[in-house]
Amino acid sequence: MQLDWTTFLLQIVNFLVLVWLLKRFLYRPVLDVIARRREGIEKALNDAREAETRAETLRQDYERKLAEQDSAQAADMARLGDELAAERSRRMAKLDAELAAEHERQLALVEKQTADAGRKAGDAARAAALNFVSRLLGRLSGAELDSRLVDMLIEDLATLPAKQLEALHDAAAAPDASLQLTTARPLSEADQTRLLSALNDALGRSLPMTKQIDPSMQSGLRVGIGPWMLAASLADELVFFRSGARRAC
Amino acid sequence: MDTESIIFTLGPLAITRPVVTTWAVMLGLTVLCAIATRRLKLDPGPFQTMLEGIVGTIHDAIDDTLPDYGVRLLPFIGTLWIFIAIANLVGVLPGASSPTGDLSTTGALAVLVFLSVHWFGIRGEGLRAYRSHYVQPSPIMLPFHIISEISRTVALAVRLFGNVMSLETAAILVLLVAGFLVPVPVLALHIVEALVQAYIFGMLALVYISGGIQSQQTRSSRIKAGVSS
Repeated sequence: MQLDWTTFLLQIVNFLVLVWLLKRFLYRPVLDVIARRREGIEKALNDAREAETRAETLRQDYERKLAEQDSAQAADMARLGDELAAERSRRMAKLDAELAAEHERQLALVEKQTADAGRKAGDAARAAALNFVSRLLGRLSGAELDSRLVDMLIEDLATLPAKQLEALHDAAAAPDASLQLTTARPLSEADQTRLLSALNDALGRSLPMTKQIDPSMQSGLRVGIGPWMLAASLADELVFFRSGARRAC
Repeated sequence: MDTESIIFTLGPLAITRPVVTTWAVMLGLTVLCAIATRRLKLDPGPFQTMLEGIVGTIHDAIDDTLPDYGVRLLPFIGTLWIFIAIANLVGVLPGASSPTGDLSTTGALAVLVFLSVHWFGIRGEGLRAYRSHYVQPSPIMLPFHIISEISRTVALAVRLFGNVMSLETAAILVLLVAGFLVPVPVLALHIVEALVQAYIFGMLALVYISGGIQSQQTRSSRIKAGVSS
């Protein structure tokens, strides 16, 4: 255990040199790389913070836009609801109008069908009545009814309007004027005489007469004077009855 | 001078075994560090991670004791730790002896610590301000301060020298007395002791330096507080 000054001084120099060498080859490079890594980490952290800030800004912007879109969507939905309600009301009104028109049309159709049914029922009733009257009067037709119809014709001649009488006079005044007598069966002499007397009185002159039998007339007679016809037959009366009944309906 | 330990002479300088061993350690450390730090990457491999771990641990230890002085004290304290640890461990190798088993080496290191305390203290506040703390709280304390400085430096040198030399001597004695495998536990104890002594030496150096710096800082802050009040 003794101190060697040469070794002592050399060791001091050696250590100082070693300090420089290690500083040059160990501490500085390692500290530099650590500093660079920390710098990189700091930069990455700053980038991450900036990215986070941007992301936060974007998120807030997105949420704001989302809220605006929601409000706009709500407004659109409300407007659409109003439009739908208005359209529904309009269509309901239109539908009501169409239903009313259809109802009226159905009512008209029902009325028409009712009227048709009534008319058919009337026709059937008239046909039945005509058939009944035809059968009844057909069973009553005969010489007595013929005589009664001659009486009726004579009465009608007496009550003819003046205008019709003048027309008959004009027809009878023609040079070739004649009387065409058509009967369902031959008239009796008395009835024929009464008829001619009444005609002569009404026409104011005596005309030649031709006779004709038509069984389809069932009973009564027809007297033709030129273009005019005086009828008092059962068939003609039934035709008049049928047409009159139809007009009455 | 122990003439047996002289390897060769370089002019008037007698180069002893501890100096040659120190050169070998310096050369090995320099080459290793130069190779290791030649291609440092931001994405470190296992070896670079270990290297950064060692340097980072030393830096953090300094920073914990003296905040903001990590980078400034790292070369000196770090080199103390690394060199003393390797120099202590060299004694484990067959045929080699630890440079720290020589009082000249440990004395040199202790003197460097002694000087560095004053160097860093004077750099902090200047020579006049640093010098004045030796007469605080009273000029009577000046001899005691000087004795304290010298004694702790001597203690630093002798503690390391004594421990390393005693371990090496004990290992040699056990090896001579016992068989080949018996000294293995002693060598293992030598390794642990080598690392512990390196840590203690470096830590004491750091504490002394921090004491010099902080005494200045405490005093200057006290002065500032007095001026402001």
